[in-house]
Amino acid sequence: MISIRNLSLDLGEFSLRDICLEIKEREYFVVLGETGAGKTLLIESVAGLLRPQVGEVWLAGRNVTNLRPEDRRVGYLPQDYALFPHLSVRDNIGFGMKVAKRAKPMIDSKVAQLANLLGITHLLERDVLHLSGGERQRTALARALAIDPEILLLDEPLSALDEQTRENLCGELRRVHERCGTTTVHISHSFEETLALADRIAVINAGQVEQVGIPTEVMSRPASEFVASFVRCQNILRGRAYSEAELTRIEVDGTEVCSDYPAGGAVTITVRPEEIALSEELPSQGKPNLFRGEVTMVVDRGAVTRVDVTTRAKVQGSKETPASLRLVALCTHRQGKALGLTPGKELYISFRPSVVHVIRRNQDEANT
Amino acid sequence: MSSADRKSSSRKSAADEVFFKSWSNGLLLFYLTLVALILFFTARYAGIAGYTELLRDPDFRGALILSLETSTIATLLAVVVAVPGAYALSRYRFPGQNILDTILDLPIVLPPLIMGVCLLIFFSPAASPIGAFLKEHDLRVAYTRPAIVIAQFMVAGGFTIRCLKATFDSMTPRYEQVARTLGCSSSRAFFTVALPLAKGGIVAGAIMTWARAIGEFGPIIVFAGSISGYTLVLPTAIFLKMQVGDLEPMAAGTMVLVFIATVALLIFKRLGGRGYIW
Amino acid sequence: MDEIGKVFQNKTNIKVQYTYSGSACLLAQIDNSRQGDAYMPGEWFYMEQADEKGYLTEVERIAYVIPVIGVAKGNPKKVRGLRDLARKDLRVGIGDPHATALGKQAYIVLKNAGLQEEVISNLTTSAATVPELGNAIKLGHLDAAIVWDAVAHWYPEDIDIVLIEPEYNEVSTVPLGTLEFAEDPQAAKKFLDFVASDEGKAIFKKHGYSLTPNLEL
Repeated sequence: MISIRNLSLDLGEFSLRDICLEIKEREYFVVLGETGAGKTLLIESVAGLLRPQVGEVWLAGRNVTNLRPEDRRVGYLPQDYALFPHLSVRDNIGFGMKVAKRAKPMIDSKVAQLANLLGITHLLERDVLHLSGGERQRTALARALAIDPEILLLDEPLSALDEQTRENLCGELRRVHERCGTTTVHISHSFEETLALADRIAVINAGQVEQVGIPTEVMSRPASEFVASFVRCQNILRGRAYSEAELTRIEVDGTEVCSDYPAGGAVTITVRPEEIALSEELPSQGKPNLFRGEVTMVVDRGAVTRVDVTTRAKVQGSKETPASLRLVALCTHRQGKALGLTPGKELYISFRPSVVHVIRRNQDEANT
Repeated sequence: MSSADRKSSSRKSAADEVFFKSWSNGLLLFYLTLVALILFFTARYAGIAGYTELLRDPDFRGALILSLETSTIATLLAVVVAVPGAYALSRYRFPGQNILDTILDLPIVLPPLIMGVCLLIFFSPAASPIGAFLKEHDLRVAYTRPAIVIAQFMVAGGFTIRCLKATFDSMTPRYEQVARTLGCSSSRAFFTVALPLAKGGIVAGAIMTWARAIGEFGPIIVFAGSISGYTLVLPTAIFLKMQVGDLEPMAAGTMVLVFIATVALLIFKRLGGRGYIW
Repeated sequence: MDEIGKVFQNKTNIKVQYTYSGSACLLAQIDNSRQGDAYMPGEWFYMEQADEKGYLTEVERIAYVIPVIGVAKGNPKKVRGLRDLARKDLRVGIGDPHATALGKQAYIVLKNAGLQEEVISNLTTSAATVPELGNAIKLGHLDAAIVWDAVAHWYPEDIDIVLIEPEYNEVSTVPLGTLEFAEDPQAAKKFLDFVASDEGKAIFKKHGYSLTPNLEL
């Protein structure tokens, strides 16, 4: 549906380098990146507001690289929504249809239908200046959808909203997408915000695509250290891997971690904090990655508790070897309470080899 | 730091604040008083006789009406040119923009009298092909009423562009961008979105342009002359009164200009004009 | 005047400061400020006014200025005298009669010739300052203007002089007077004496002013 081919654009402060992305029909695609990574350039290039210096943009099978924005049928929702302040909510939503010289009854019925879909029927005659953040967002979304766009481009649609509204709108976006089936590109700087929405995500960093994949895959198997930290894999450790018959042993900070993934040489391993198990009792079964350690910090985040631990020793059967890894674990509030977590508390720390993801590093990186 | 130290330092910073506030406010008050007193003494100097003499003078009444007419026409012209011009300057980036920007500032920075001399040369049958062409077709510009409008337009026009550029600069281009994605061509986006949003700024800019045009003196006396009943406008009439030593009617005329400027400024402020008046 | 000031300063070590403006304007300034050491109007008439108000201490006639018709070099429009100024194919300028001594003088000259109405209705402009007229002829905006002979002399490359019929013409005197407000009356007197001396007058002559009431070409 959307095909971005070798797109490059340099505006000095921001740039995109050789971006290639294929977005499928009806897909909800999220582009993730930090502020300044070039996300907005990407969306503006697709909308036709910027012309790429190199590369092509294809929409629904036609090359639109040199097409003006008005000829692309793209629904665009900018970050600040940019509702026309001199028009009412109704006229904002109907703007595109009026430009297309659609008959008034057609405009009215479409506006009514979209207002109903987004629950803003009661706002139609209002002035847009007095709308709340969520109401503005819904109005802008209705305005973009009113032209029956081939694709919908959302630039940080949730970031300016308070948490409650954000959660509601997140559900709304999902529902609207299911109803309308419009191929959607949503850009965001927050991984958690879009987890529930995305069919697939792309992570871009410094103008380049680092990884494309379904959210769970990107979360558990980040392609680079950047992606790992971006998707909040808080345990990112560098070491050297030795592949053996069944497991891969990775030497990290003078101890050893085991992984299912075959690898050798300089590597970075990542372990998601929610995959790290904490217990007071020594687990009955022997585990390849079992450590004894102590809690250094506890941060209560409401539903979950973040626990920072430092291992003292690796436990292999009855043998203990010294090990000092700093790890971050997440446990539910209830678990945390049951364990009686306080700094200084001794406990056992374990994680399965299958959750230890291995990223190969090239030699230059290994030296740094 | 001991608590005694802290106390004395906080007392010191309190004293500093009092000093700074009274210093800055005092200077402001000083300036305001000066302006008010100057205007008051000028108004008083004119005397009742000054005002009556002035308002009875048909030359002066003609000059007042001519001033209102010419500055209105000059303002309309300036706005017609400045709206698209300022929009282009604000929205598009092109090579040589800095140079263009500087050229636009010149009419503002140049002493207005010099602008009058430049116009005289520009339309000179002896010194410029344009002047020669006009003369060939027996069209006269210098020392005519259109010359007043041209002089006002040239001096106030650069200022209008500045004013309106500030208006467009303060508006995010997102509105037009969204309008484009909704199917507007760039000109349609300008007319249906940018222009209505800039309306307040444009009206405010037009009023300031008008106030400047009506107060313009130097280029008019040089380029349009000061012919009673023909090219005599309010400021030149005031100047001639001074030239012949009729200071009371001159002061009265000045107060008429002050009154017009005050009304224009109040409307400007009311419309939310920003402080970019030079 | 700048040259006079320089020569005078070299001789006496007294620095002269000038304020240039129209004769009436200067008189009004003197009237209001009650300041100044010396006054030099373009016309005797203003000196009389100053004298009536009792401002003057001493007066000397310095030079004569003679109204002439200034035309573009080579006189392309064949202007021969005052009567031609009523010609409709000419763009004619004179000084503003209220603001300038020159304008006032021009009106008198025209009146003498009985041409006042005709010429005034044919005017392209009336200038608030004298040099404006010279500039306008030079730039081709005017075909003819009544100016002082001295002004015409400032534009040897661009302006030719057509004499006004002597029977109508009124020669004007440029006087210099010292004022009673002078802070240093002796210095003012020295200045007056210097300007009125042969050396001072020679400088005026150099700049196109006549030292006799007859036009020397």
